[in-house]
Amino acid sequence: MSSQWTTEQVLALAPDAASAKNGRGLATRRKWVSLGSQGTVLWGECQGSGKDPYRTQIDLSEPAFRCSCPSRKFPCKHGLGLFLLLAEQPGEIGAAEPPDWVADWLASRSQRAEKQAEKQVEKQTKLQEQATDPIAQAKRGAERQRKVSGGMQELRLWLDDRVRQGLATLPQEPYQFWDTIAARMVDAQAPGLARHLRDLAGTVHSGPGWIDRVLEQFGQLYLLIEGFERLETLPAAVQADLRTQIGWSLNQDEVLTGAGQADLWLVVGQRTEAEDRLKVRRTWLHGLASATSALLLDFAHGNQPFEQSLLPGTCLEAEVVFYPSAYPQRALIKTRQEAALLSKPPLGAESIGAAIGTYSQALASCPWIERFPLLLQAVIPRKEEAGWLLQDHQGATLPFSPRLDSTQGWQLCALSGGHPLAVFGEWDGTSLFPLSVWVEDSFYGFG
Amino acid sequence: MALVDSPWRAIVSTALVGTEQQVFQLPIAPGNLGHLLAQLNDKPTGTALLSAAATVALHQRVGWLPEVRSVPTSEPCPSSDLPRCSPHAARYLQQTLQDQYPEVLPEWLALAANAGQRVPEMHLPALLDKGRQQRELRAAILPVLGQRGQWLAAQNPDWSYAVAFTTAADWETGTSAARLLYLQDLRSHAPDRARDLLQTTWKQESAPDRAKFLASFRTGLTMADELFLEQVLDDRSKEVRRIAANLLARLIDSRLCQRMLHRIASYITFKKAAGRLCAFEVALPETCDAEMQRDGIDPQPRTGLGERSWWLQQIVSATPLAFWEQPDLIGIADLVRTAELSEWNGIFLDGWLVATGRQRHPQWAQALSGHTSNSASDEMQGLLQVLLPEHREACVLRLIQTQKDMNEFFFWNVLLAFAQDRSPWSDELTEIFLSGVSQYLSASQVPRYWEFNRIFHDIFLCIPPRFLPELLTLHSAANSSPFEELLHQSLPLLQFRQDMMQAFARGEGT
Repeated sequence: MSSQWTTEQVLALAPDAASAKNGRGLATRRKWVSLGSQGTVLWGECQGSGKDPYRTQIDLSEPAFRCSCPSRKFPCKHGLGLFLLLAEQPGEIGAAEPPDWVADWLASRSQRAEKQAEKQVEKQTKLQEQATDPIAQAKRGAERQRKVSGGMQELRLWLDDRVRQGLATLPQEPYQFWDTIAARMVDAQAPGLARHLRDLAGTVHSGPGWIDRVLEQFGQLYLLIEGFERLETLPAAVQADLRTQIGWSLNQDEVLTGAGQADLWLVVGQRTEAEDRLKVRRTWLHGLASATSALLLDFAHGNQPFEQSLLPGTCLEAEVVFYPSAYPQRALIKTRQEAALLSKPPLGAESIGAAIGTYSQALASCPWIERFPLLLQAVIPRKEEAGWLLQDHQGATLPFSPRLDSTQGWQLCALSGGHPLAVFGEWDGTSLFPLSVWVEDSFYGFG
Repeated sequence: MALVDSPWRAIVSTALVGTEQQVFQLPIAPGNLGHLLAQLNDKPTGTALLSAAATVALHQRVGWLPEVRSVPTSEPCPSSDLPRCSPHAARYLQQTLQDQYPEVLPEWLALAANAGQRVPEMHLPALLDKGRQQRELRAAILPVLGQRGQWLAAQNPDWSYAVAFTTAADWETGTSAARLLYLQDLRSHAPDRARDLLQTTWKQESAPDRAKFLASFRTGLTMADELFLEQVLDDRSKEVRRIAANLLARLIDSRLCQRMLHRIASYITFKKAAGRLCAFEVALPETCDAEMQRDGIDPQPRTGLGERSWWLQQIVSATPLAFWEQPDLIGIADLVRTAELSEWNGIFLDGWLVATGRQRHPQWAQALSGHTSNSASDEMQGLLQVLLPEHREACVLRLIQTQKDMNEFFFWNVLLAFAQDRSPWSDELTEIFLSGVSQYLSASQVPRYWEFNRIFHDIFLCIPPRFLPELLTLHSAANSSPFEELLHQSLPLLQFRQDMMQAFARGEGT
C-alpha cells in the first residue's frame, strides 16, 4: 500500500500525549499478527496482553477508526499504531481480501451513512413542520426579544455608570463585580454579552495598555446595544451578526438548509483549545477554486473525541454552508466526499500588506471578527529581543503571538533557514498564531 | 494609538477619570470620522463617550498598517545539504528526545552519521537543547546537524557549542564554548598548531577559560608540549596549575616526572631476600614543601588518609612505572602481590592505579585488574578506562577466560564495567554473555535483583540486536525463573534498537 501520510499528521489525531506515545510503540511490524488493505481501508490484528489479538481497522476516506480493544480513547493506541505503520512503512501492508470482521464493519458503515441521510431528511421535514406552526414560534421569539431588550437596557446603564465614575479604579474591583453583571446577562438570555463581560475581568489585569483594551471593549458592547435598538432597520446579514454576538445560537439543521458552496477544500489549519472540560476545535478550510475561507467549530466534552476527523494538510471535496453574516466565516459541512492529500500550499497573499488589507475590509463589513485567517505566500520568520515575527520581501513585519512557545519559534526558523516559506495562521488584530507551514511542498502543522 | 493629541487619547483621558470629574469634549477629527463624531454632539455624555470610543477604536483597527522596518538578519542557510534521514528513522530520534529510551540517543546519532544523513528541521531545536544540557553528546550531535542545523545553532547563543569554526581567524572573536570546540578539534589532528594558537592569547584569557583550554591538551599530548606546561606550573590560578601538573605526570620524560623519580628514591627502599624482592621499606615525607606543591602535590589530604601517606601516594601516582620494574626484580604481578602484603598497600595500589591510568600501561592494568578480582565494578571500570578503547574488549575476554574459578560476582562485574563504554560488543563477547545467562537460568533466585536489572539494561545497550532470536529462546526457556522477569523487562530495549537500525537500513534519506 502506498501512503503520503506523515507521522506528524497521524500523531495530531492522538487524543492525548500518552496515546501518542503508546501508538508509537505499536507502529512496528512485529506487534501485528496480520495486516492487510483494500482500497482506502486497512486493518490489522495486534497482539495485546489478552489471548485474542485486537482487531483494528481504519477507513482512510474520512479517516474513521474501529478497534475491538476496550479503550475508551479515540482513536485508541492500536488505531494510531496501525496508521503510523502505514505512514512509515507502507510496504508492510499488502493488498488483501478483507476478512469477515472488516467486511462487516464496512457494511455497517455504509448502512449508517444511509440512516444518517434518512435522519437528515426527517429532521428537515420536522423543521418545515415547526415552521408551519408560526404562532408558537413567534411567541417564543417575542418572549426572548423582550428579555434581551431588558438586559440591554440594564447593560447600558451599567456602562454609563462606568464612564461617569471613571475606569481608573477597575483593577481594584473583585471578580464578583464582573460576574454580577455577567450573570444578569445570562438571565436575560444574552450569553454572548456575558462572555464578553467575564473576559473583561481578565483584561483589566492584562498589563500596560489595559485601559485602551477595556475602553475598546466597552465601545464594542455599546455598539451592540445601539445596533440592537434599531435591529429592524439593519440589513439581514448585520442582524445575524448582532444576534450571534448577543448569544442567539442558530440551529445547525436550520443552517444546513442554506445553499451549499461546493469546492475542493484544503484543511489549512487546526487548533484545539480547552475551556474547562470543553474542548473547542477550530478548523480552517481554504477553497481552492473560490479562494474563500471557512471556519468549522467542533466541540467535545472531556476525553470524548470530536465527531468528525479533519486532518490538516488534507483536501476534501465538499459542500459547505456558511452561517449568515456580513462577512461569512463560520460554516458547516453539508456533504463530503473522500479526503485526499495535498501537500502543495494554496496560493496565499503575496505580501503582509495585502493580507492585512483583506482583514481591514472584512472588519469594515463585520466589526466583531475575533480571529482572521491569514495565508501568506512568502514570509521569513525572524527573532528579535521582543519575540518572534514574520517579515515579507517589502520589509513589512507581523508579530507572532506571545503564546507561541520558544521551541515552536525555533522550529519555524529551522524550517525556513532564512528563506521564505508559506505560512497560515490566525490573526487577532495584534499578533499572529501560526498553524501551518509549507516548505518545498511539505506540510507541517503547528496547531 | 501613541499620539498624545489623537482623538483616541482624548477619549481615554476622560474615561480614565470619569465624566463626573472631567467634562467630555468630543474630539475633532478630519474627514468622515469627524463627520461621524459630530453626529454625537447632541447625545447624552455617556452615550457620546462610548459611541465615540467604539467609532474611533474601529477606525484605528481597520486602518492599522503593518510596520515596515529593517530587522537584523544573518545570511540565509546555503541550500545544498546532507540528505535528511527518513521520517521513520526520525521517529526514533523523536522518541529518545521525548525520554523514551533516552540512553539510545548516542546510538541513533552514530547511525545517522554513518548513513551520512542529517536530522530533519523539526527536531533540530530539541536536539540542540539536549546537547546544551548534556555536554558529552555534543561530539556525536555535530556531524548530523547538516548545514541547516549549524546555521540554526548560529542564530541562538544557547547553541553556540554547535557553531562550526572554519578558520583560526575566528580564534580571538568566537565565544568561549566555540573556541574550546575548535581547540579540541585542532588538538586531535594538529596538536602543535593548537598549542601555538593558544599561546598567542594565553595571557589575555580568563582563569576559567585557561583551565578549560588547557584541559584539551589531554588529546595529542607529547613532549613537544612539555616546555609550555612546565611554565604553566607557575600560573596564577591554582586550577590551571593542577591541570598542568596532571598533564606533565602523563609524560614520563618530563622534568616533573624526573623530579618525582628523584623524590621517590628517598622514600622507598626495595628489601631483598635471596636476590628476590620480599618487601618495600617506606619512609613517609616529612613536609610538603613549595617545590612539591608546584609539582601538583596537594597538601590537603582526602578523608581517611594521614597527610604524609597522602603526599607519598601522590608522588607514587606521578612516578614513571618503569621505576618499579628494576632489572633484577620480579614481574609486575609479583610487585602487586608484594604491595598487597605491605602495611602501606593503599599507597602502592591506589597510587599505581592512577599512574597506570596516566601512563596508559596495559600490562600494569592487567596485573592490577587480576588483583582486583573481588573489587566492585566501578573500580573495574576505572581500570578498563586505562586501556585504549580498542584494547578493552580483548582485556575483558582475557580476564573472563583466564580466571579459572571465577565467581559469578566477578563475571557480571566485568561485563557491567565494560558495558559502561557503550561500545558495540563483538559476537564472541555476546555469546559469552548468553552462555552466562543460560548458566544462571536454573538459579532459583536472583541475588541483588536490582543490580541485575541494571546489568541487563546496560548490556542490552551494547550487544548486537541480531541476537534477539537467541534471547527470545532463552526467555521462553526461562519459564518462571527470576531471569524471566529480568529478560522480559530488558527485551523491549533491544527490540527498540533493532527497529531503529532497520529504519536506517531501509530508509533512504531525503
